[in-house]
Amino acid sequence: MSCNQPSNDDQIIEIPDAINLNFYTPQIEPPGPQPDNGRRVKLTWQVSRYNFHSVDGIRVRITATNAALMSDKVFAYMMLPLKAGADAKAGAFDHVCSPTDLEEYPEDDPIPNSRPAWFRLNYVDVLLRSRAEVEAFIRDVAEDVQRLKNTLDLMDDLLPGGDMWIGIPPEAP
Amino acid sequence: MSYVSPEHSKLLYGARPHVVADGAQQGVVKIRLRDNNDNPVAGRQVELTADRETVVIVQPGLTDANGAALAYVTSTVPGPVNISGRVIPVTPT
Repeated sequence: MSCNQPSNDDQIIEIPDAINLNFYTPQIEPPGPQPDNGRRVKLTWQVSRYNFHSVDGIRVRITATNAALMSDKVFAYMMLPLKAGADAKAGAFDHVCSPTDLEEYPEDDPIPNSRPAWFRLNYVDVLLRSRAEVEAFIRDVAEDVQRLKNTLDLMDDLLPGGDMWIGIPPEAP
Repeated sequence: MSYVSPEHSKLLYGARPHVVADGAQQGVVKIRLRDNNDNPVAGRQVELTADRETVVIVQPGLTDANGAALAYVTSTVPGPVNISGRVIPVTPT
């Protein structure tokens, strides 16, 4: 304690900033344990401070590596103009791929002259404003990649074949 | 004898701010007490309150040598909850 600070042991001291917790009910039941089919991908995230024109932010980079039985390029980007009407374009992260996106979007660069110009990368690099946004972003990306993996697993086990008549079947001889 | 500076003291998220409302998963609130020189204030009791009655708060112990203490919050009712805190007076012995 510094000598220029009188004790306030006998006072109630309000801490000025309250914090907000958000309690939620999961809409989707967590999936049960699944047999290991070998499909996997590793997500690694790095968080660093970012300052642009005196505005503080947090830079988050999530990288997918070590993929097995699936692509590690699971992040869908679209080429967009840097400014309205400008020729110069840059890739902008849009979403975690669906299985269809994995089939249709090329890796690394869009197909020339394709519109919209989608492509896939194995990382996503974004700037966010707060720790809460960072945590939510990482959680959302992890959930989306988990959902992608689950969907790919389901597609491994397609329904068995079958047959049915449309109309009246011919009478048996 | 200690001095707690409200301006330098804070409530912080001890973990993520989103918590499953199952009465089991706990939201963690970290209390950080500081004096005017930003030195930790140990041995003080903080009482947390919520703006909703459906919330259960496990109150923190005395702040440690780092001026820190942890509290745990659970709920079975979904929705946002504001948690506020106050440092309670030291009881004379």
